[in-house]
Amino acid sequence: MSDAALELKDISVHYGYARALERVSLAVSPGEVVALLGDNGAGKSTLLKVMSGAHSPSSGQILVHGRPVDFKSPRDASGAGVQMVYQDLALVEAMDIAGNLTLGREQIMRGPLGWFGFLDHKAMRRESERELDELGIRTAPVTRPVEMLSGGQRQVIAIARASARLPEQGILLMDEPTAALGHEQTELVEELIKALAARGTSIVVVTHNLPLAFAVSDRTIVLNRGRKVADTATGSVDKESVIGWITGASVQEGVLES
Amino acid sequence: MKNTRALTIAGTALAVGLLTLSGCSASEEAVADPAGSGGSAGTESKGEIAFFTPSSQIDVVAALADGVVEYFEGEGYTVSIQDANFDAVKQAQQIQQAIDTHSIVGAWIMPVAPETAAQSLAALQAAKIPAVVEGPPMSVNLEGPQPGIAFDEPDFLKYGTMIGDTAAKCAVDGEGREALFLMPPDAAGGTEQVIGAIEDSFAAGAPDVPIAATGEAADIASAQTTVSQLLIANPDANVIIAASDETALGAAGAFKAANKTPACIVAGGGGDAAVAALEAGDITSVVSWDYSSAVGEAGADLIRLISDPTSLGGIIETPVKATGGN
Amino acid sequence: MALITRAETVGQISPNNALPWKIRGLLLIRDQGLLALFIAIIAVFAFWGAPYFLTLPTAISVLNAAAIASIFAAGVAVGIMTGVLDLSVPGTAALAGVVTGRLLQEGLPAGLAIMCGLLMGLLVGVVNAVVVLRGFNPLIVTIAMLSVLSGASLLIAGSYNISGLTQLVFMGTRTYFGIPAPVYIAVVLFIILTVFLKFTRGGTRLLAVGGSAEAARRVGIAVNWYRILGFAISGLCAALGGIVTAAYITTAVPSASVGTVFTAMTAVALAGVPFVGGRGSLPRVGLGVIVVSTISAGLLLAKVPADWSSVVTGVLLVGGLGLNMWTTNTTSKLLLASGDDGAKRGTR
Repeated sequence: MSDAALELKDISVHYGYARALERVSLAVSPGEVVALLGDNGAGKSTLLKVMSGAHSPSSGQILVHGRPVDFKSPRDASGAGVQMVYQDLALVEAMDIAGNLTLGREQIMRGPLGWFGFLDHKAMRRESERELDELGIRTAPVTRPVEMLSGGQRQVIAIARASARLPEQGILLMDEPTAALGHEQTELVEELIKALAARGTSIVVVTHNLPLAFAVSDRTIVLNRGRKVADTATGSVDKESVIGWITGASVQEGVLES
Repeated sequence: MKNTRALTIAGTALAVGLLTLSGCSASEEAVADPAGSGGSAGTESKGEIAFFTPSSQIDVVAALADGVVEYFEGEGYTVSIQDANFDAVKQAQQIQQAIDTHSIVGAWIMPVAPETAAQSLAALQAAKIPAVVEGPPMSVNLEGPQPGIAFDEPDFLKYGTMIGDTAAKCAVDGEGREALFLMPPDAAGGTEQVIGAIEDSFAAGAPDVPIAATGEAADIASAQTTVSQLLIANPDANVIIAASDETALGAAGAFKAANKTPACIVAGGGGDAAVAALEAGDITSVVSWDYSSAVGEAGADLIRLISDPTSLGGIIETPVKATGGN
Repeated sequence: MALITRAETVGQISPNNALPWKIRGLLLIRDQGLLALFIAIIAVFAFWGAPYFLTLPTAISVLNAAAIASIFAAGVAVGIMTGVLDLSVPGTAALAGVVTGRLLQEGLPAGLAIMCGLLMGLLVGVVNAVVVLRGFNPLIVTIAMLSVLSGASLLIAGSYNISGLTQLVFMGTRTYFGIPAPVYIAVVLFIILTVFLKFTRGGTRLLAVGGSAEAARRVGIAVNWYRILGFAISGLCAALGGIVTAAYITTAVPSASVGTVFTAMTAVALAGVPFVGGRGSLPRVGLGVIVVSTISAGLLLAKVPADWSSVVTGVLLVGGLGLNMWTTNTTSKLLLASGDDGAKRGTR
C-alpha cells in the first residue's frame, strides 16, 4: 500500500453532530481506476471534496505518493498533482477548444509583445493539438467554440483539460462523467478513461452508473451512510452484491473491521 | 490573502478619490449653496417654505429656486428645496409628507404633471398650508382664484410670440436667409402653444426667411450634432430659432465647429448657461420668463396667505422679457 | 474497432469535422447581419435623404456623432462581456466632465485636468467592483452609483453648466485631415480594447471570467481581479466619453444624460453581444453605434420628425435581438442533431 498514488487514512468529516464520513480509508495505485459508488447521501461527494481540496476533513490523513499533504483549497490539491473533472464541466462556452484547454496557463509571445501579455495563439493551438493527440482523441478542430460541441465532446475536453494539468502519475477525480451522455458518447468517455489509466494516471470515478463502473474500473469501493462498506476488485464481484452494498442490504465481509 | 490585498488597494483608492472629490466640492459649496439652508444665523425663522421642483437640473428652474430662496430668506423664512426628479408620484409624496409632518408653513410648487397635482393642492388647502403654483388654475383643473393658493400664470402665447418676433426682427435686420427651428423633445406644459406661436409670429415678421428644417434634441451635445447635420442639408441656414437653452447652445457650437457665422441665434429659456453665452456673443437674444420679477409679487401674496390661509390667492401673470438682440 | 482512433489530423478541418453548411450560413447571418443591415440603411437613405445624405460631410458628421456614443458603448460592452451591466456610465461621464471642467477653470493644464477626470472614472469603476464583490447585485450597485455621481457632479458644478472650456477644443470639434478629433479618439480606443480582448492574456481571461466565473476560478484565475478590471475599463471609457462630450460642446454639463447609456446598450444589443457575458465583438459594437447614428442622421435629412428615429431604433433593436435569438437557437438545435452524429462518425 505504501506505493499508492493517493491514500486516505481514517478520513472523517463531521458537520456538528451529523457525520458525513466516518473513518474512511482507501488507496489508489498508479494507473488504477477506482469506481466510487454509493446512494445519494452516502458521502461520495463529500469524499470527493476532501480529495480535491474543496473541503478539509475533520480528522484523518491524505497521502500523495506516500507524502502527507494538507489540502486547504483545490489549488493545493492541484499543486500536489490531483485534478478534478466536475460534473458541470465548467467550460467557457464562447471560447474555442484551445482556449479552454490552455486557460490559466496561457502561452505568452516571446519578445517585447510578451511583456504586454500578448498571447501566442499558434503555440497554444499546437500545444492543445498535441495534448489531444496524446490522449488519442479525435474531436472537432481546436478553433471551434465549445458551445458548438456535443455533450460527449465537451466531456472529453473537460477531461483533457484536467489531465493536461496532471504531472506524471497524477491523480484524476471525476464526478459523474457520463451523467448527461447517450450510449455512444458514454463509450467514448470510457475509452478515454482507460487510455488515461494506461498512461499511469490514477483515476477515481464517482458515479451512479453501474455499467460504467464495471466497464472501466479495476476496483470498486462502495460507501453507505458515510462508511466504506465494500472495497474489492471489480472483476471478482457481481452486480447483485454491489447493489446490495449500495442499498445497505449487506456489507462486504471484513471491510468494517479494517 | 489575495482578497484582503484587493480590498486594501481598493479602499485606498476610494479614500484618495473621495478626498479629491470633497476637495473639489468644498471650494464650490461656498459659492453655490444649492439648498440655501444657511439662512440668517441667530434670528428666529418664521417657518419653512418648501420649493417643490420637478428637477434642479433645469437651469431656468434652478434660477427660479434661487430667486425664491433669496426672497423668503430676506423675509425671515427658511427655504427647503425638494427635487422630484421628474417623478409626479414622488412629488405628490413629498408634498403629502410635508403636510403630515407639519414641517412647512407654505409651499411653492412647480408641478411635474399639472393634471395630477390637483389632489396635492386639495390636501394643502385642507391642512391650511398656502401655496404658490407655477401655472394657470386651468392646468390643475381648477377655475379662477382659489382660497389659499396663488397662481403664477405664464402666458405661453405671449412667450412664443416674443420668441418668434425677436427672431423675425433679428432675421430681417441681420440678412437672414433660411431659419432652423429647434425644440426640446419633451411635451412640457404649453409646449404646443409656444411652438405654434413661434411659427406664426416668425412667419408674419420675416416672411422672406423660410423655416427650412426643424430639429429636436434634449441636450447640448445632441443638439450640436443635429444642427451640424441640418447645416449640411441646409447650407444657407443662418437663423436659429431655439425653443430651449440647450438647443440654442448646441446650435452655437455647431456653427463654430463648421466655421460659420450665424446671423441670429434666438433662445427661449434664459438659464444661466444661455445668459453666459449671450454675454459672450455666442447667442444673439434670449427670451425668458421673468420669474425673478414675478417672485416678489407671488412671494408677497404667499406671505399674505400664510397669515390668512382661507382668503383667495391671486393670479399673477409671469412676465416675459427679451434680452440681447439688436 | 477501437472507439477512439489515433488522430494526427486533429487540428485540421477534415470533411468529417467541418460544420454543416446550414450552420455556417446561420453563423454568417449572426456575425454579418449587422453589416448587411448597415448597407441596406445606407441604400435606403441614399434615395430618401438625397441629395444630402450620401455626401462626405454627412459621413463625417455621422462618424463624429457615432464616435462619442461609441466611447460609451465600448465601456458598456466591456462591462457586459465581463458579465455586468454598468448603469453608472452617465453619472461617471458627468462627473469626469465636471471634474475636468472645474480643474481647467482653476487654471490646470489641459493634460493634467483630463488625467484627473479619467482617474475619477477609474476610481468609480473600482469602487463599483469592490462593492459588487461584497455580494451586492451589480445592477442595483451601479444604479445607486449613478445617483451618487449625479448628485456629486451637481454639487461640484454648483448645479450650473461649466462653459467656455475652449482648452478642450483640440479633442472636441477640431478636425485633423478633415476628420474630427473624437473619431481618432474612438478609433484608438477601439483598437486598444479589441487587441487587448483578443490577443492578450488579460483580455482572454477577462472574457473567460465573464463567460464562466466558475471555470476561470477552477483553473486558478484570480476571478475578483478581473471583475475589478472589467468595471475599471467601463469606468474609464465612461469618463473618457464624458470628457470628449465636454470638449465637443466646450461645456461640462453636470446633469447625467441617461440617454447615453441607452444608445450604448442599443448598439451593444444590435452588435449581438449577449447580455449574459463572455463574448462579443467590439468592432461590431462600433458598427452598431454607426448604424444608430446613421439612422438618426438619415431621418433628420429626410425630414422625418425626430421621434421616429427613436421608434425606428427601438424596432431595429428588437428585430436584431430576435434575429440573434433565432440564429442561436436554430444553430444549437442543428448542432444537437449533428453533434451526436459527429461523435458517432468519430468512432468509425
